[in-house]
Amino acid sequence: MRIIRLKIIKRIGDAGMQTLHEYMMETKATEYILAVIFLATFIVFWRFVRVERK
Amino acid sequence: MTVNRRDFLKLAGAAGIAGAAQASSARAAPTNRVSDDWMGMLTDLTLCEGCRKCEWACRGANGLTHDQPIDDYDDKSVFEQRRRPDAENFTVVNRFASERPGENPTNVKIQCMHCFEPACASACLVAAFRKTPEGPVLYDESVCIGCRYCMMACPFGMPAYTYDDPFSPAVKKCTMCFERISKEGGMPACAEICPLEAITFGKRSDLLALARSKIESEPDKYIDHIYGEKEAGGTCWMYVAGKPFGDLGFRTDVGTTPYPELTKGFLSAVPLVLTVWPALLMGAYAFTKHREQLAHAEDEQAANSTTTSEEGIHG
Amino acid sequence: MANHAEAISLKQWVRRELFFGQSFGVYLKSLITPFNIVAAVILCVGLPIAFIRFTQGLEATTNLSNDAPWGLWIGFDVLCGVALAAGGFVLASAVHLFGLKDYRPLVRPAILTGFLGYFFVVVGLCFDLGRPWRLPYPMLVSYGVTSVMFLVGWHVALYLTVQFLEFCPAVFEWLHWNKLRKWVAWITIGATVFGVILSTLHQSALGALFLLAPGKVHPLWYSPYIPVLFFTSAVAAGMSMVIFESMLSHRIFKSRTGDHDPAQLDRVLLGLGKGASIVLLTYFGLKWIALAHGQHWNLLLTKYGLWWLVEVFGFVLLPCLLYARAVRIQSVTLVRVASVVTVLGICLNRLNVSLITFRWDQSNRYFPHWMEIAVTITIVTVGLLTFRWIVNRMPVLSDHADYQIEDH
Repeated sequence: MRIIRLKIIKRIGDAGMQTLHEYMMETKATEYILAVIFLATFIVFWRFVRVERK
Repeated sequence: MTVNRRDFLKLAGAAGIAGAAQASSARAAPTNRVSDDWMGMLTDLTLCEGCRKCEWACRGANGLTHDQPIDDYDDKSVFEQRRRPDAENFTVVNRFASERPGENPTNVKIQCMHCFEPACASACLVAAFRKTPEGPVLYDESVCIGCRYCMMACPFGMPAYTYDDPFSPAVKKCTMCFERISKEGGMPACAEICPLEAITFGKRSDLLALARSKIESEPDKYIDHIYGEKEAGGTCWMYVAGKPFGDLGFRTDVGTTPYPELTKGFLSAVPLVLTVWPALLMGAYAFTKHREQLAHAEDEQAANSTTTSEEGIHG
Repeated sequence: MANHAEAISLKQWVRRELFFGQSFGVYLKSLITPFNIVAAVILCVGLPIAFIRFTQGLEATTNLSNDAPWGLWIGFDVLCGVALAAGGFVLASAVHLFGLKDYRPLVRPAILTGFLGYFFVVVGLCFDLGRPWRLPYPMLVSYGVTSVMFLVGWHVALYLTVQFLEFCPAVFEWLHWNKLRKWVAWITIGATVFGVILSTLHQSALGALFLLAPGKVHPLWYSPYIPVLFFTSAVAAGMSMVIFESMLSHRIFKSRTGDHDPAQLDRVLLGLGKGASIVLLTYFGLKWIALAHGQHWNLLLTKYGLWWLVEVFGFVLLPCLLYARAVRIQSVTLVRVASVVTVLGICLNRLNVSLITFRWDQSNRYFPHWMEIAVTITIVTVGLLTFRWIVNRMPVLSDHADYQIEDH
């Protein structure tokens, strides 16, 4: 199986080498959660800065 | 090009360096190919004793300042500092002392690695670099504007620049002695002079087999890693060593992805933006315009109807 | 071109338009001001250094090395210059494409800033390039189409042209070239659309340049998302620059601002501040998503990690909240404070990527030579002088008396 190393910082031959699939399982999950948190924050923030002009 | 590819391979074959010449179509396919007819170099770091004759020969072969006699290169004081290739030295040897007392130090010759997929070539905005079908990565000074993006991009940090030249500064790096190896029986100057034959020149596939057999036959002497086999997508220059490469000044974080792959995604987005943005932006413009016209018409209508009835005003 | 300027002689025109109606001697005397004296001193230092740079080479004037091929001239003059000049495309698209007509008075100053910004980016680039006289090579001689730099080169050149066209109406009004003015006004929409496309591409391309330097740029700043990060932050920087500049313009060029309603300007600045706060919040979110993408959580507690947190909280989230607060309490002063923090923050980001964290693995690091700093200061000074010269003469901050507002 061809192992793709995307995570630049890790050493070649490291025991902790990830497959692309493992790497994406981890990062995509975190990214999606962060994106959802951001969406909620954005809505709150939007309401916060929306002031009626005098 | 000074020699065409087929001639070159014939010569190489005749010289007994390469096997049968194989004329395959030009390489355009990207990441996962296995090359079998590029020329390359294998440096065995367990053999090198740091005589630095390769540095001397390199200067001569590349027309660099060559005024020091070869005996001066025995001076071991240069090893006190870690050096890197520069405009006057296309290759340098550094010495890495062993942590275990009494054990010999390791001497490491470094120079351009001649990548399969050179980052410098993909970075150059005037296409001054090219990967020759023979293996060496060559630089053409005549179009270079001196942005030095190649130096930013090189995973091994090998290209150097003549910063001291105000009118014709240029990038300088190892050419794997392209001119010499293009001639019959030609060898790169460093490989030719190496008294311990620590540097081997040949077909990369042969060198890889040689490196593997070295590691297999003497597993105590060598670590199980051929540097350059996969680094940055693979390089024509390869190394075997008795110690982990990270301890010998090699970058171990370059990954196995060919560097052009790193910007491929962005470059693919460019034509998409060029194609899609005009419609989106003009759409926004039309939408705005339409709303303005509606508002305008409404105002007029309102102005007309207020004279007759108040009901005309809404919104 | 028939116009009423022909009725007066060239000499009269020069005197009226270039020397504010004064004789040349009086005009020269009026130039002796503290600011001009400082500028003159800077030029007296900077121009000889420029001479040294182009006769002695880069080694004589810079601390660039084989390990640090890019220095202050790229890190500040080019990267920060382009980001801060983004106001032109943001304002032009807001007014011409999205119909936010309130912002119209800010468009011309923003486009002028953009044009001069890019122009002096190219000047800075000419100092940095080994052979600046080959600047047109990527357009005319040899095409490295696989290079992100190739895109940057083309886009900056094209966008410079577009911004020149966008600014042309002001020049033609000043010169009373009516036919030409009508012609360039007609292409405004096209130019704006093209300008937005080019800006999207090259603002992000400047970030994409660093995609080829993993391991050299610190992992916290290196991300496959860097093009998006650069683009988003450039939008915030451009808007902030417009706010910051309007503060200066309306203080320094009072005589040129015409009969603007100050309350109207305040409303517009608050609106821009609101927009900038939203963009900064987005940028803040993107920064964290980029971090998650790189799986670099463990690096946050290192020295560089703390520095990253300083940038993200102190120079992204803080100005974002300052802007939001300013909008809530309708404080233009606070909007201006936030704009300054944003501008500093985006500059910090560009310097972090290109210089401060670049080659973080090495002990022997680049620090700019004093001559590099002097050249940078000189270029900024010449930029300011040019800006002032144009604003004092052409209809930038207010409409020309002879021309009505033409909406598209």
